[in-house]
Amino acid sequence: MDSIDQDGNMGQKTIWRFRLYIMGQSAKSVRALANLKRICDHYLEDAIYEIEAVDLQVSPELALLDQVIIIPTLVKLLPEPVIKLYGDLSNTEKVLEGLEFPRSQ
Amino acid sequence: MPVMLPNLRSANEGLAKSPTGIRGFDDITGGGLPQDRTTLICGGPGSGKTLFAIEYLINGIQEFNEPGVLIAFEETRDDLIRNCASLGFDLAHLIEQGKLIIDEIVMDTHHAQQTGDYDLEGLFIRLEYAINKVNAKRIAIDTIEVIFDLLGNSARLRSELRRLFRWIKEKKVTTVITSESEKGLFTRHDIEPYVSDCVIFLDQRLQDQLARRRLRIVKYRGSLHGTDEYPFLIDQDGMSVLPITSVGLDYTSSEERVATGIAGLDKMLGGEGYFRGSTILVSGSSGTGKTSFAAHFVNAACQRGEHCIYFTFEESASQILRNMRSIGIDLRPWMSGNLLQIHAIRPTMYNLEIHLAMMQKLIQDFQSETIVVDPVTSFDLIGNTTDISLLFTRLIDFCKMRGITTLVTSIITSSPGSVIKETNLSSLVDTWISLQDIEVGGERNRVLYVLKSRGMKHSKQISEFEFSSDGIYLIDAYTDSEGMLTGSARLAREMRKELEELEFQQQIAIKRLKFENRQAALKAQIEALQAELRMESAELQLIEDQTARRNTVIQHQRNDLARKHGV
Repeated sequence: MDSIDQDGNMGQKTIWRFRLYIMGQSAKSVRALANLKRICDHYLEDAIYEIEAVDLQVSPELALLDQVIIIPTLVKLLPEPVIKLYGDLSNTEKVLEGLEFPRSQ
Repeated sequence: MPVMLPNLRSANEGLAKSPTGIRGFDDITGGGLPQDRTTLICGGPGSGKTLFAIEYLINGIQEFNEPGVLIAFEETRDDLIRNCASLGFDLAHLIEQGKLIIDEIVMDTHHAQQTGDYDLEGLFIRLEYAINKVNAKRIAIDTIEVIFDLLGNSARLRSELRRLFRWIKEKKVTTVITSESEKGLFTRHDIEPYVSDCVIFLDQRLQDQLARRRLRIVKYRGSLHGTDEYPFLIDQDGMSVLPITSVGLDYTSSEERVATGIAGLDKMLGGEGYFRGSTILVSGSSGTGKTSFAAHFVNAACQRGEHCIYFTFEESASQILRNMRSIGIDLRPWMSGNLLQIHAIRPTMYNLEIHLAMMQKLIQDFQSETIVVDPVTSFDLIGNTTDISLLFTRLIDFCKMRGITTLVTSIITSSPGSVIKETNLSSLVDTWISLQDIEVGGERNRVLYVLKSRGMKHSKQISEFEFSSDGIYLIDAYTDSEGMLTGSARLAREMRKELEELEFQQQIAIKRLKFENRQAALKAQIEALQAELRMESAELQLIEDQTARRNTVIQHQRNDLARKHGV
């Protein structure tokens, strides 16, 4: 991962890195993770994406890391800028808009 | 909150309170905030809500050994530590001790995008984490609006807040949530209906170019509370709320007497001086010596070893010290001996309430047993009669409750604009001494008399007094001949009465004479007229006699004629 630049590019491909804050196996948490995977698979075909799910039930102190109070919270770490989205990601339009995804797909 | 009165007391007793330690606030709420519940503190920008929340936490740690957690949405940790340092609160130290956690949450509301259903579990987790870490009993969240700005005012958010308040109750922590007021609404997002336990509104208004802060308890479930607006102030020691105390008549009146500092005046007041804890008014026009009387009193109090505060609103402390030295009263040793404080305050510096609050605070901090307010008439500049009367009612009440002897001076002016007439204060004071300048034979003399002094025998005579290098002394010739003065006064009054009577008699005599003269003149006139009448009657008679005679003559002539003609 050393070779990833500021824009999240590694060679030809763009790297998308996400951190998703969830609470155990709650309905909203499960739904958010599924929604994120679905959207990435569909819209980031030509890119590499990584999802790190942070379960606050397991490690509550990690909530301090990204100033999380709302569950689920999605933090897009790469490419910059860092963007936060709230909710279970059911509204695909809002997710695409919020994350500035390549819409041509 | 229509609660039946008989239940209030028991409700009050049943409800556990979490003391805030904020001066005055616990008095008006019967002990503080509802324990293990949520209290909403709402107010506009700069109204002091953050300070309330922080003071609640700090006092909890320092006075009640209850650790606290502050969730800060508005200010950073460093800003909070810096701002509180200016109020003398060392947050950093409390954090180091493990008594306080400041959890700073920066929310980027600009890029907030909501993509579906959510909850506030993250906040719960953070709170729980922090509570457990310091074993917190108190929480403050400043301000709740940030979450609304982030997520919008939705049914989901409201139900999450309700869940938060329930959760807090289970956690056995007392929580203060601050909220922004706007345009006549207590809270910008109308959340106060969700906080069922306690809602407090802080208000800041400008009046006569001076900020007036008010606190109102909008709601307090199960507790008796005042619905009044309570003035409060924020100064270098934080927040103080002023309970509007009514003039209760249940003070224990002291029988103890305190010297006035002037031997002759003690003598006039039954030989012993003022009552401890009473209120004394010294009135007089400018230059009659009011300040000197006050200084003598302070001097005597310090000699007894009492703590005194001298509030002066016209002169500086150094001016008073210098002037009093010239009549042999040196107050400086008392000041350096920490028995006396002189506070020179410009009346226009604050509004009446802040003046009152400051005075009360200084009195409490110094544990003053004697105070002087010189002169009360200075407040003319910043208030109307009602406000000033109320201020002094409250000050006097405050002092009486604590057994503090209070001497106030009042300048008598003839100008109609002056709003404090000593008559406004007279009903509030126990002893009233009037100082006057009188001119006798081209000489200016100072005299005093005790207009009233409740509960003691006092002289009713007028006494002359003079200043010397040993202070004020009353002239003995007058005091020794008490009966004589009143006697001579009575004599003078009687003489005056006699004179009046004499004058009256004289006037009557003059009037009588005048009437007699007039009557005589009238009688003469009547006689003259009657004479005239008699004359005219006589003349008339004469005419009638002549006529009658003439007629007889004519008749005779006719008869003669008829006889001659043979009819």
